[in-house]
Amino acid sequence: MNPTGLEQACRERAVLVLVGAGGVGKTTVAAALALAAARRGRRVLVCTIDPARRLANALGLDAFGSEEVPIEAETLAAAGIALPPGGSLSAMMLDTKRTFDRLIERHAPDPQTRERILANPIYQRVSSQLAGSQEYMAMEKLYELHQSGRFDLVVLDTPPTRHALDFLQAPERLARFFDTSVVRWFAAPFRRDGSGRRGIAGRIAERVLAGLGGLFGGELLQALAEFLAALETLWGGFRERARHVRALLGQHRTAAFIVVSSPARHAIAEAYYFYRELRAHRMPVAGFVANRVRSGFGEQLPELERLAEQEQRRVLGAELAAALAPFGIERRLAEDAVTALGVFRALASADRRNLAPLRAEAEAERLAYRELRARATDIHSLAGLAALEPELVGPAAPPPRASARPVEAGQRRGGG
Amino acid sequence: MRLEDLLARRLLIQGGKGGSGRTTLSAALGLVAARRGRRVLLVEVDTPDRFAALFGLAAPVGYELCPLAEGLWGLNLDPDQVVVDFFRTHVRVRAVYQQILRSRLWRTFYEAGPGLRELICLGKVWRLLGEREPDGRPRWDTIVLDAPATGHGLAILGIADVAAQTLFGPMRSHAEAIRDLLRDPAATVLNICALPEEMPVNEAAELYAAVRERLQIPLGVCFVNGVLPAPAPGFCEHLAARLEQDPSLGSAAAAVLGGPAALDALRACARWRCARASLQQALLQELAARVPLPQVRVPYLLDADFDRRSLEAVAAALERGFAEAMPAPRATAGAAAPEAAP
Repeated sequence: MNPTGLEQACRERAVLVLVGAGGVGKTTVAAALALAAARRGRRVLVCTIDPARRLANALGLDAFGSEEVPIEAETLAAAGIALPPGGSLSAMMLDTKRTFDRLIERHAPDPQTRERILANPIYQRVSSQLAGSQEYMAMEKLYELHQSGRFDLVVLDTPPTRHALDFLQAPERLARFFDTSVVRWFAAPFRRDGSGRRGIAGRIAERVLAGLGGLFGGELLQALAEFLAALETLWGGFRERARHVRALLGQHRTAAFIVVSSPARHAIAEAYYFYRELRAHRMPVAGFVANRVRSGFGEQLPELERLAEQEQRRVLGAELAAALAPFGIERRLAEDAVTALGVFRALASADRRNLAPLRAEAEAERLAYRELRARATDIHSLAGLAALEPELVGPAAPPPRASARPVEAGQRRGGG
Repeated sequence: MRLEDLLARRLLIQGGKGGSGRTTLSAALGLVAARRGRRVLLVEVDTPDRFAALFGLAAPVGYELCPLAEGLWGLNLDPDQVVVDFFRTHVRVRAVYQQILRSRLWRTFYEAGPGLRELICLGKVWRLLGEREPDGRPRWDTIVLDAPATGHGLAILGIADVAAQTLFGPMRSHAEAIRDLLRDPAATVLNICALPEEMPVNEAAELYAAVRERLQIPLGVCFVNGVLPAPAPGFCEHLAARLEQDPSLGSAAAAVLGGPAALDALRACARWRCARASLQQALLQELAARVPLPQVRVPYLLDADFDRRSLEAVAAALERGFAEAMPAPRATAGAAAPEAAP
């Protein structure tokens, strides 16, 4: 385990990419890391996709657009946060359709081509729905922001994907879709000037197209071919940039991936899957963040072990009721408190059990591993994000393996 | 809406955010339907199988019918396999469809093309609904579909409409038939799954709005998963508050529990529950306002191992939840929150 991993990543890397299953809190962790980096004097941008509304408000993103919004010093001050000289925090929300439009505006060779693409009904309908276009656009934006030099660090919150590698592979897949040779081949039989391909390849193409045309309608294929022909001038660039982005993310001194998980088993399984795929593709992984870990409910205390058994729980409930009766506390309330503690203690123990292998993996691979304890209420303010900092990048907790004690220390620190 | 009304439809679709319990609920709904004597097919789409674990099977459910329980079968629709099936049915000439499937053009089109995988998977569900026994009865009384997570789920449910407007030829009539089935209130119902948490409530509301405005799929109930039991009435005011403020009450409790650390745990638990209870109540009310469907609440499962035991617990909770379902969108949060499963 590398206890300073995330702290170092916040100070030194230029790109942090948060990955993990849907619903594990990637956006919150991304925002908290960005804030932590800004508090270390860096110019930081956090780029999120579909954040919870109140979190968006906290970040000053109530106007949803794809432009970066700097979070004003007064806003930060109101939340009790002062950034050192040079530090700044901006946030943006990724809008796939607008990013795609801007890409075409920027790279179209002439105004006619630009207008033709933007007005094409197929483009309008599919540009935000092409499989992988959201991932591709996140990459595209990341590259653009990184190249601009306006930020020292870009923290990217990735869209939830069904398959772990979608995020990395989507750009290539999309680039392949726009690959000139494939699309030319596709478009050839529809060319009005009769410059369609001849020979075996041409005959196969025609046969395949006839088969597809019979199913989907020749008109659709024609419209699609026209759309693709209109985009033809951009294709070289797509592939080129996909390659650049990938190279950027593979640079170990520049970029780092952080795998976020909740303590739920399926989320942990997905975190593992992500992690292994990232490793297999030689992508730099900084570590894991286990989010919403339930702790502090006596799961480490031997004196509360008896709560695990129903009969003993009843006895303890009766004892507490008797002890609190002189204070005018109703019996049912004391019993309720004990029953609930039994439940919460069991939940916290289950979380610890579920996360143990992830923690061990991090330790064996010298990766960062941090736990954020579950809060009773959702985090939706800058102050709430700032409160996560000690758990996320603060002084390292002692190694948790030896005994139960270091984890208690972690809880006390987190509980402040 | 009564459970019987829901089960009268032939296609039951569960939509909602990832982690909101769609899969477990779909499986439990399938189990409940099968136990009421229906022949039920449970379908998941383009996802690693999760049914096998829920039903305690060793091998994952794949693209072959898999018996899950009495009267209940499972199927995992892998788009790649559905596509082969699709071409086999529609192109028929083996040499031709194999050539299409092998061609680089098709693969590119299929991998990046918008919505094709989704459309073909929905088409498969449509064909399954049309299958008949030799005696002419439908092969399946009920198909329970675990739709992919919201964003993608909207794509899959909306694709038939887009395709019906965009495509030509045989695929167009195919898409129109699928769309008509999805919009038929006698045949189809879409249930929205949510959790009493901020993001899932937002997503459920977005799904509801999109279904009402664009998809026009008949809506059923809103399943609320993971509802924490409310603290006993008076708990927060009379006990939780005094645990924090009254040192002599605190030491009396600590003496029974075994020390100050145990007292801290008791306090933390009480604090957490009281904060969460009011938040949960507010979120359940917000959900009721933004997703005005009958709410069927399923309590938080303590041993959420997503195994056979969890499944039985959810099935039991479903039956109970329908009996207690709030008929109108008026929220009476907390009042009907059932006990956590043991």
